[in-house]
Amino acid sequence: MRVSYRWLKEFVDIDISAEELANKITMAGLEVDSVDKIETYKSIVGEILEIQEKGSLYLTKVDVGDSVLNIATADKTIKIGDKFPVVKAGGVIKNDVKIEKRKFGDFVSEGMMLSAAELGLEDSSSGLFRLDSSFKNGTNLSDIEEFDDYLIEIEFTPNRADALSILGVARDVRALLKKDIKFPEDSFSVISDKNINNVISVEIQNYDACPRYTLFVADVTVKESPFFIRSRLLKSGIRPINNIVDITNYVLMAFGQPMHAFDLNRLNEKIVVRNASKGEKILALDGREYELDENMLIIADSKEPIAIAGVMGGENFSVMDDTKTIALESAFFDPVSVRLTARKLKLHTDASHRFERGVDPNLCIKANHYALNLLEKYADAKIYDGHIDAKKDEFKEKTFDVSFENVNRLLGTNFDKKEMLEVLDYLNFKPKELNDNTFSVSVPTYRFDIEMEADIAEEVARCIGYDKVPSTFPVVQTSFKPKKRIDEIKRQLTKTLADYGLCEAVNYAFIDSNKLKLFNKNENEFIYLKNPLIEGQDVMRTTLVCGLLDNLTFNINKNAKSVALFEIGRVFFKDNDYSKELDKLGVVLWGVESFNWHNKERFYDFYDLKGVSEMVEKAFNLKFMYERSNQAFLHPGRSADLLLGGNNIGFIGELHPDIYDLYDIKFDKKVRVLIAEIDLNAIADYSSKIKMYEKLPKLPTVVRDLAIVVDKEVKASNIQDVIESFDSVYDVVLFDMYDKLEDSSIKSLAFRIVLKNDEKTFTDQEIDKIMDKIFSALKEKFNANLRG
Amino acid sequence: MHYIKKEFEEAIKNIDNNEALKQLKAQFLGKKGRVTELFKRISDLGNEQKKEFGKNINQLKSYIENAIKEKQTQINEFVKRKSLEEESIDITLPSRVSNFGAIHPITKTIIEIEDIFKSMGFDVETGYEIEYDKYNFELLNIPKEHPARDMQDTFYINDNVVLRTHTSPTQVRVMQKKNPPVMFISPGKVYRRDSDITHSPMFHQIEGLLIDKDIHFSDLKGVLSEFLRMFFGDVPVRFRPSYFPFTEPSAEVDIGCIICKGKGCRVCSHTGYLEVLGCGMVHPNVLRNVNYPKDYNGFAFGLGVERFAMLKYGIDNIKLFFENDVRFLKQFSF
Ligand SMILES: [Zn+2]
Repeated sequence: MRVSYRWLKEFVDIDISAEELANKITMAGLEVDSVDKIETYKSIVGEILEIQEKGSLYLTKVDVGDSVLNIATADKTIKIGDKFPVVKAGGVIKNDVKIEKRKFGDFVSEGMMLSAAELGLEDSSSGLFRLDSSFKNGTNLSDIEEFDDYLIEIEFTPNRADALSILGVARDVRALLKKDIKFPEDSFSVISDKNINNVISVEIQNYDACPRYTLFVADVTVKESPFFIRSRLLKSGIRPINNIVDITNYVLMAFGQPMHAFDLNRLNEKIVVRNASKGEKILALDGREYELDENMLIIADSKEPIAIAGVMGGENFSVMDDTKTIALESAFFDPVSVRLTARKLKLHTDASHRFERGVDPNLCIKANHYALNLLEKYADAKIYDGHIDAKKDEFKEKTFDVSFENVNRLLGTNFDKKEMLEVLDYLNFKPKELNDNTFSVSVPTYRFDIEMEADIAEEVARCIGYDKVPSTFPVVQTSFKPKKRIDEIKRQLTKTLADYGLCEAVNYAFIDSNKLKLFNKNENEFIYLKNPLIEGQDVMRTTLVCGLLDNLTFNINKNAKSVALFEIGRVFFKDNDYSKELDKLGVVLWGVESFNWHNKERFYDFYDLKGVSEMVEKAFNLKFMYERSNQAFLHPGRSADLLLGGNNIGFIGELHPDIYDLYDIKFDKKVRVLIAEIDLNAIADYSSKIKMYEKLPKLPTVVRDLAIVVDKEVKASNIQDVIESFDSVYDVVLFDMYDKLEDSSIKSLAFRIVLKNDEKTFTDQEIDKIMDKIFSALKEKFNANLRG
Repeated sequence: MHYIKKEFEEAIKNIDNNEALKQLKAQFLGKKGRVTELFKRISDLGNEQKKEFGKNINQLKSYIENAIKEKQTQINEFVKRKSLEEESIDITLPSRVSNFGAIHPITKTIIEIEDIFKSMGFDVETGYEIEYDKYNFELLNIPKEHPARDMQDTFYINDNVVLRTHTSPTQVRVMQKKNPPVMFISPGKVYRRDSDITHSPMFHQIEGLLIDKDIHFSDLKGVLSEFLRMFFGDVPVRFRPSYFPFTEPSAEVDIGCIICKGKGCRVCSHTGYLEVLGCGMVHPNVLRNVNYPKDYNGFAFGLGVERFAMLKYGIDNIKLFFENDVRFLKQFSF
């Protein structure tokens, strides 16, 4: 909300600058976004002396005090004697627009008359900004009071409904500066020959939703508002319309009480405050028709809805140029009721904004009085005798007791009693000291946010200043809990993989369901968003691979030659109405593995990816089983499922060539996309931090190589297992594999075997004997032959 | 004899290789060498002179022998050095390690913040990213139709289940599980239906909660000021009143702008301050919702990880965090 510094000063004496004030209220909880001095662009007051119509233009003579200027304008509403802000040719206005002389036939326009938008008071204007006729021609606008002002933009937290007006801000300023509030004059006279009760009645059918409804009636003349009302509305971000509407808005801004003026002569008999019936419709002031339902409160006459209560008036019952008599509504509507209605209709207005947060129920009459005072002055109002004040109960202030000690203990302060009571008194809490440690407070009916002692503590602290609260350090007796294994695993893995040369990625958890279906055929597991932001983010991921492949595409499009990413994050599976969340590791490798002056260019392949899973095994003291995978999105011959304790805990492999296209990745025989995913919850369950060390061989070990030929289908890991099963074998390394032999059904494998004997040093014969035994076992199990 | 010594000294001076030294050795100490020749002349002398002469020759001989030995060592050193020099390589050529990985700046920031709070005695807890409305709002003192719900645009799964809009539900989850005192932080992803230069529909928060007997607002100030100084260095810190439905009193914490040092710049909207944290004393209603005994209270806080990372690393667009451009990520390999 934008607050005029000058207007604020009418409610409370302020003896500090706008900037100082902004800082003070920010530090008291009304956060100021900006303070801007009103800019007038060196414009001066000009009076129209002559008007000559020419096509769609009006060529005028304008008295600017020291001279008379020729100025052209397009505003149809100008009249002789009207005064407007004028900038002479050569001047500069908003957005650095330079005003130049312009020729219209023989007519040379020597300046420009300005609209409110051109002065920066609103975004767009429909016409020129008419000034008060009392201003002297040639006066600098900056010397006119309403322009000598600052606009303070305040961002209110939702609890501070009470502050959503000039009065509301003034009440906080009062407590900070310890001054008094000055209410504007609100007296008016009534005409005795007309009485409200003869022309209208009010019936409330739902007191829960409308605890109070007040109404006054007056005959009025509809015209333009005076300059100060129009300029203050503009400063508050409200567009002036006519004096009646402007005055209701003016009171709204001044007091925070939304008001509405009905054209009395368009109403049928009476006003009924009731719930709408389902399907009932209303054409609202914004020109749109709204369909209502039975949970929405409306204002109706005897026939139909005339306003959506607390939200917006009906177009056909509001003030128009020919309106003669108005019924002026000032009511209190229940916050939840208004909020439900406004939200359902997607209709957010200045009125609904305030009612949703809470408007002082004791403000209705006061606001009406102020409006009538203004109407009498600026709308020639003849106010009918009497008024309607429909309500069931009085609105009493809540009272409760507060302990000085509790407030100080909660804050960790040592504020003295006098100081606390004084602050609360300035905030209108009427504090009464009951005994040494207790005082009572009465909560003003505009403070919807104050319910308990803690709230009072905040009021005290925010007005004395949070900076007056010391900084201390608590001593907490907590027992130390063991770290959660999954958290340790995630952190260790992050570090390990980064060291291995992969970059960590972080992706959105919602992805494109069409892409997810490529990787998960079980759509029953999907969790869809009810209100996704965009189409391609409609489902919660059940795999990290989708996001990583998107990252790969993104990087390839940026001409990356090497992409190695991992992500550690949650995936989500449907579990009845709720979800099951699992932590996963996802990996994507693509492109150049190494390209440097040592080696020739090499591209990532399956065995680089296997390095990742082996690293996981090593890091967490595990052993995976690698089995050929039959996942549809993986290359059938170049992929593996990972098994741990008999459970499938993930996969590694090349992306199936059919899927490249869907990610806009060109399939290249040499450059493959490799993906992996591992369930980290399983790792946490099976991994152990405890490992018994294996004794080192006592005597020197012996190294022998063994080269064999086997059928291509035989798994190298099975051979290795058999070799390792011998007691004398200390270590085995597969150091060569060749499968481009003449006989394409076989491959040759070479192992380096480290032998140990703890009893005595091996003789050559003993070694040969062991190697024979090993070979015989391989021959028997795998039909292995020695390589010739 | 004196002449021979001089001659030798002249000759050895210029010798710089083994071959020449061998020749020199032969020239003086060889079978027909100069010194050997001198020995031959001994027999021509009388007894008296013999003794004296013999002694001098032996002295000369051992002098030459030592000099040659010394030279030999010098030459060996020289040869070795030379052969090593010949093996010298360009040490500015890069190593074989060509793939340097990196931890994502968000994770780096979380780790740094976690470690600071761990050093103060806080535990780390994790929550759920998909939450019941009850945990995300109601138990945190945000009933349905509360205007505070406008502060956070929510993604819905169904009427009762949402993507959590903040990490605060973890407060309730942990307090329901554990008796006080509790003292933990909880990092994680949160979701809001909002997207522009400064907002991402998914981002990361770190929640903190400390509940014990007799915890004060001043403790909150102390702990958070200390944390901010440890993370950002010696910056001014200020607390100003704010509003969160689940804390009372509530505060927003600003640090002096680290870009302009408080003078005012675009990043701090010319205020000289940057908003970095929301916090407050846990609302009595929240403590009641988890049935904590009345004599316990405490404070809670929440911070946006992206904001901290952006300030720390000078990152100006939140989208960079989620595009995962390897050129961006590799910058965080330190
Ligand atoms: Zn700055």
